[in-house]
Amino acid sequence: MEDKELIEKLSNDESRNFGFNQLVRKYQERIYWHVRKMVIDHEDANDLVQDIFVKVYKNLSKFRQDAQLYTWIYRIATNECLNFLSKKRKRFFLPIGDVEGELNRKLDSSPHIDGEVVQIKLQKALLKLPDKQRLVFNMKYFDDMKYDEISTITDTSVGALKASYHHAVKKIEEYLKDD
Amino acid sequence: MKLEDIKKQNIHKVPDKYFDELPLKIQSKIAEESKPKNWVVTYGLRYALPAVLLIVITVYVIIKPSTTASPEQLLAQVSTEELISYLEASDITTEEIVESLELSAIDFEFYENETELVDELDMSEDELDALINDFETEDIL
Repeated sequence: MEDKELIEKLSNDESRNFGFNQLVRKYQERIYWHVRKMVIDHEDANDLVQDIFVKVYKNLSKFRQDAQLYTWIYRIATNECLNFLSKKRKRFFLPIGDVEGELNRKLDSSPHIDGEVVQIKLQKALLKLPDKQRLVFNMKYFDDMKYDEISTITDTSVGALKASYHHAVKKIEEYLKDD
Repeated sequence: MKLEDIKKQNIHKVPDKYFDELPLKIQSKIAEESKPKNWVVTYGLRYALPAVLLIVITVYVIIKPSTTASPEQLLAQVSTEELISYLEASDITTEEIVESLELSAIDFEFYENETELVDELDMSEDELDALINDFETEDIL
């Protein structure tokens, strides 16, 4: 179902639940993987994705119809991810390195991770990046999103995003070279 | 090693049928959160609970001493007549009562201030002597 049709269903009281079900089915995987790459752990990603779609449902009336539906959902998901990681640090008074350590251990021990050594090494290199830079890198590198789209989602200029991505690639390659 | 040398691959996995079941879980969560919340449980208790606990503890502390009366206090509530009737009806001898007494420092203070003890019994000395004589006579008999 096209976004335009989905929005029509969502704006009608009688068809809202059906429309929302279609929306979830359409975007759940993209949102899940977007979240999962940030929080690493499946259980955390599962909780967050559910919260994100509940938030989407509750805020449907605030959605501006001239905006793109998927960038709006991505924006909510992105904010939820960054808030989750930020709260995680505040809750346990953890410095950045400790959260990185926890996510590193999950990469090594989670039953829901299965990759070649070099892939896991790349993920560990990504954990060295600040959250927002990692987010930008994931959207550009893994999701092949355009800078314009990332700019809308993150509310950051295209120039700043290009610079952020360029620096992220350099840091990752340095890590891969050293390790 | 360059980034472009690494094959793009998703190393994360999900449990079987995860995405088949996720929409239902989300719908359930929305239904759960849409239920009207009980104000008493959600807000009332959250804010009132500390105050309620404080009141309960205060009341308990105030009431507790009066509810845990000592044996002496309980015995003081029994009238002299009832005590005499009880002693008359029982098989306890005066010697047995004396033998069972364990005299402590507090008991000695009572002996030193004997007048007060007699006043508390609310009996004249004559009545007391008559009572003692009765018991002694019964014991002899």
